[in-house]
Amino acid sequence: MSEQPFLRLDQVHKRYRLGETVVHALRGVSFDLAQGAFTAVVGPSGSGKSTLLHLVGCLDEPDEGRVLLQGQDVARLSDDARSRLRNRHIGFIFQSFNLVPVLDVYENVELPLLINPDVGADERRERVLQAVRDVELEPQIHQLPDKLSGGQRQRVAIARALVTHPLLVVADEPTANLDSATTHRLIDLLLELNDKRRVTFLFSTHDEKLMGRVAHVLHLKDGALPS
Amino acid sequence: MSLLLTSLTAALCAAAAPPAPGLPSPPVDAASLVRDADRARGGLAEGITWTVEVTSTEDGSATTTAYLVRARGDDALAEVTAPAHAKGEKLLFSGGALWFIKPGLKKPVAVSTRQKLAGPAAAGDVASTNYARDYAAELVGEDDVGGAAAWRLELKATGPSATYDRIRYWVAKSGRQALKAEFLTVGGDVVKTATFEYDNKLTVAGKPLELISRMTITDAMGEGAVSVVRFGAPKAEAHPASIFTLESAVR
Amino acid sequence: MKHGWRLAARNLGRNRRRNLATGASIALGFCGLVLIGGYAVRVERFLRTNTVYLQQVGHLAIYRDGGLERGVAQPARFALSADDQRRITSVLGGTPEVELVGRHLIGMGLAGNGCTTVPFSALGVEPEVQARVLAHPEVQAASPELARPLRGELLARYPNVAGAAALSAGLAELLGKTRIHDELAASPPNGSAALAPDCAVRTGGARADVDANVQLAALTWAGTMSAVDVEVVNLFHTPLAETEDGTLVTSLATLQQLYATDAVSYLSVYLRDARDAHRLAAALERAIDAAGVPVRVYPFDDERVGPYYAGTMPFLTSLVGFIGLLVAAVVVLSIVNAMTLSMLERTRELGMLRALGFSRGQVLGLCLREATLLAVMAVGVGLALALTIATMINHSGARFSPPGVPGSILFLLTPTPALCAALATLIVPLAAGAAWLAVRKKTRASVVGLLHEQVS
Ligand SMILES: Nc1ncnc2c1ncn2[C@@H]1O[C@H](COP(=O)(O)OP(=O)(O)O)[C@@H](O)[C@H]1O
Ligand SMILES: [Mg+2]
Repeated sequence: MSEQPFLRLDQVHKRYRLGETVVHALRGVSFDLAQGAFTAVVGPSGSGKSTLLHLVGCLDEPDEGRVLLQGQDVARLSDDARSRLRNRHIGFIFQSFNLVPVLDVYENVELPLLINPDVGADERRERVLQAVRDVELEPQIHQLPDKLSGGQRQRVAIARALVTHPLLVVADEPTANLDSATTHRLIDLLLELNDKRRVTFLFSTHDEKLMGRVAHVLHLKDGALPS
Repeated sequence: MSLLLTSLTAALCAAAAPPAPGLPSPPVDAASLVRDADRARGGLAEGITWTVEVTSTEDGSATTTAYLVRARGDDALAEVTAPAHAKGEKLLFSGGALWFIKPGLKKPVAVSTRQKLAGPAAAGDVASTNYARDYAAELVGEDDVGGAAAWRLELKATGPSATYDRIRYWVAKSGRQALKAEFLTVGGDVVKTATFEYDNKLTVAGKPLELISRMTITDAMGEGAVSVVRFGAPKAEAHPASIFTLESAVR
Repeated sequence: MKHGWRLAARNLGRNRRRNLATGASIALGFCGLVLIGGYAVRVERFLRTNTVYLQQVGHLAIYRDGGLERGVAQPARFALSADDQRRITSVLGGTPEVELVGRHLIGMGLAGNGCTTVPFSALGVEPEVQARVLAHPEVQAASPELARPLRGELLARYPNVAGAAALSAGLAELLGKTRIHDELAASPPNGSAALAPDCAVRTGGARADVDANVQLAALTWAGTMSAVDVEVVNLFHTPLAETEDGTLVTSLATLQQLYATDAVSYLSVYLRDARDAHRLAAALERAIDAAGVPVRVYPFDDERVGPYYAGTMPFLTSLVGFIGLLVAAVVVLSIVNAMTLSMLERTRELGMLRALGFSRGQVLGLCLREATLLAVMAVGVGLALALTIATMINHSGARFSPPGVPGSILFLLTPTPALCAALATLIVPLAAGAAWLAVRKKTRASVVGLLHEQVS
């Protein structure tokens, strides 16, 4: 059992139906990720990066093939069980930040913990403050998202993804809406957290310049990983 | 229960105009038949005094009230002679109105024939009519009534004082006395039936007359209550008109 | 999810103007429902008071079996004899819910003034019981103006006047009895009534107002003619225009004399709480039957004893129900509309919540909390508004005539706490239901679908 990878994709296919036409977004993708890996999925727009990340993040099911997270076939879980799995073990970072505009930084970060009854009020507070500290947003902790810059907002999203102490963080083009200086600082932050927390990171980008900063890169082209 | 009043007023009000004299009439003239029948039922222009006893049977219990009746033409005055507690009460039928007069009561009460006194059945009206005056008669056939040959007449209301739209009326061919009457609603249903017997004899204006002695009224609706009206001791008496006024009656 | 309410409250602050508009429509709708309901409560109470107390049907009317249907045609057979009355009263005496019992005779006949006669329908009452019934707090609260005679005083105030009677104003008018006992005592007219008035000269009883006596003639239950004198001591309006020209109320004893009986037509039973009527009707019927008197006990809302109540309530209920439905529909539509718009704007946020691990149920719960919270606040505002308007109307002294009533009563809106609570427990879940309708589809969609929805 020791050779069981943290994450395995096995001949995964995904198709989208758009009226008459069928888009074959993923065509037999297979790869393994080790626990604690820091991996980038790179490819042009429309190559299937988001689709892949949704499957890895248990937001969707493959049409063919299997997604195994710690040996567990994700497709076999009920919707509620998958929700719980996401809440406890997977963090998400989106391209467009997706913060709740009426909640301040603290509250946005707190959000995923609110539905985890295993985390009590004190621990929740501790974790939120820690996560905010980790992304260096303490001074803005009671500000609403629209008072923050793009980079700050994405750091809020990162704090929100990490506050649950996930095993895996999935980030879909987290830097796409950021300038290059901010992008590099953000990647530094992710790398640092990966190093400190041993969190497995999988993020997508179509920015070739970032490739040099990541040890492990998956090149996605037309829904496949040519090797 | 309205039968009692009904039958009494029937007895009181069967007054008739004297038969038309002179002209030869066709063998059967419906109008003159009705006039003769009215006369035999006690409607005497010459005046009469007699006793009338009304017995009503309803729900198995009978009530009898006895009256001394003085009548002349359209007017009649009936005074209760029994039972004792009702003694002195009077019914005055005058000018188309019926008055109830009770000793001790502050004023007499007018009971128009068109008003309902009580209950669902019209009271004081079944026969409170001078048929010859209130109805147009038409001869419609001949029937045998209790072994006697009779003309069947159809009476249709002509005036407002008529209570019924129609009366089916059987008048004996010999003697020209009414034998039977059926009172009909507007819809043609029989409400009451009456039969008549003529065992009283009286000499009026020098001529012998067979007078009504008994009238039996059966309610065709409801419980089928029966009233029997007995007429007795007839005496020809030309009463002065003054005794049929309210002023003299309340005295 | 105990933090759901906080989130919901925050989300309400989001599109203030739209939520304000939605809240306002719920508040106005609720206010409208409370006012309409207040009207219905008022009218129902008026109708009930009218039937039970003013018409002296009682909460329960006890007739001999068949008496209600055939008592008028065959009173001797279907009345309650003195012995029956004793048996029934002893059963009622052992029933703690019973507050008061009245004995009544009903009958018809002709009322005369010496010249003309008018058909009447009479109710015999025990004057003391009648006085207590009309002074009842329920009557004083619902329609005190109809419990007072138009002129004169209640029968119980004239123990020394033989045959004291109350006439409907229309009947008094027909009989020319324009002046009642008290008024004649105060200023006796000159000249006295002739023993036998010359009706041909003074037609229509033109001088009938020289005294206040009226002669009632009827057939006794045995079928003989009978008559009594009564003295008009008060005038009243009947609750129905149809009966205004021929109704009179006099003492039970007077009517019993007229009909030569010691029986009564029915007993009226007044309860401490109207809500016991149906339950007790059945129980008393059995108990009295067991005591040897075959009776039927009718609750006041039975159309056979309370046709006015039973006939008007369906009209009122359907009218109020119809308006209520309209208002409810407006509320539902406005919430559906607001929630649909709000969900459209927040589709991606819903997807994000799902991605963070919120289950379908939890997302739905959030939205329902939002609608519920909005509805609760709106209900609070609507209630305050309704109570303000009701207070203003109730102080304005406006009057209205309920259908078929000759007189008018104060136009009052009485939204009771129970009514408000009932309407609130109706409208809040309705709001939540409407939100559920609007949100259901969104929560069923796939997470990816929600995240990728293009929002302008
Ligand atoms: N929800 C969807 N419905 C239909 N087609 C989709 C959907 N999502 C993605 N696609 C299509 O699938 C292909 C891969 O898309 P995507 O995974 O978003 O690529 P990337 O993230 O690399 O731009 C594209 O052709 C895209 O148009
Ligand atoms: Mg993409």
